[in-house]
Amino acid sequence: MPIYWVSLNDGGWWVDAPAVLAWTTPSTSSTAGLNTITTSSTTSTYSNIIWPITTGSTMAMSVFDTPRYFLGAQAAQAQAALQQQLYDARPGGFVNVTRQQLGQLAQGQLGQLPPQRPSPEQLAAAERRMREDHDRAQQVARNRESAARRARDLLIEHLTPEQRETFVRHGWFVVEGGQSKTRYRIHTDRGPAGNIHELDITGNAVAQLCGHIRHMSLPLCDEVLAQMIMLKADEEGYRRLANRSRLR
Amino acid sequence: MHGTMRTLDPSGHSEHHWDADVPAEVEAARAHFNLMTGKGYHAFRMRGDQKAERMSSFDPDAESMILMPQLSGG
Repeated sequence: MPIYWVSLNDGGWWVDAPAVLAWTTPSTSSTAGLNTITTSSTTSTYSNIIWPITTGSTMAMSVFDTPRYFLGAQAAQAQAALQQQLYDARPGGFVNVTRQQLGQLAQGQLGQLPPQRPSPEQLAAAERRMREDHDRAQQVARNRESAARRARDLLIEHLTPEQRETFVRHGWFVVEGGQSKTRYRIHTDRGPAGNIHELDITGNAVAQLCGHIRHMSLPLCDEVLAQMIMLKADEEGYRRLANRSRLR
Repeated sequence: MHGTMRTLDPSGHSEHHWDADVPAEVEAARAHFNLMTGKGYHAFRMRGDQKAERMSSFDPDAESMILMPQLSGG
């Protein structure tokens, strides 16, 4: 397994997928000191390197642990040289790095990899995924538009001519409570929460009611239709479940 | 006599139709009604005079019904 200085943060490409996959679990092998290779979480600030552990380190801190932040490149190279000696002392101890690679690191020859050009197959696959995502998003939007249109048609079908007119012109309509004959103005130009005004005999809003369908995402006009039906067929039931806020 | 039952759902609504003289269609509509009300949906008969009334059981003679999920306070 090669050791590379790979950068996710900078958008670099990795060439060592198994190692990168291992990054998702931060290693706890640092206490072994001499001869461990650790990896780091990709979410960490210091996660863009696969590294050998610093000699004697008791923390999950690498010689190559973001030298630009910590050690500086020269220190990293010096540590790599030290690691190379340690490698000689314990051949095979570094499971993820060869002596030659440590040597290259020590000489600063293994820096960040240049971006790897994706193969035509990878490009085609990426393009196909993008196209599929795009098609899926368009389908979702079409479905949403279709649902909204169907819900609007259904609502209009159940409105009186007067209600239709204010609904189309102003985005609200008035419905009379089936029991008390209290009038309610249902607004359709906002969400289904708190969109109902209870009116007094002069048409002024005296309270706001909030009761709507939860646990299911319906088109707004379906929500409004459900509110209207409840007010007509079970006004008391609706008033019991809805939160009511006095406005004046 | 033909009946239509609309169930409010994320697609806008779904529809079930039946002919009151065709037992199989009536039973299919009744099964859907029972299924949805069993899930807590409210059922309403929609009348031509813009009135609505709550239904507790399926009526094959109802021309238009709307089934909707429960509402709750916001």
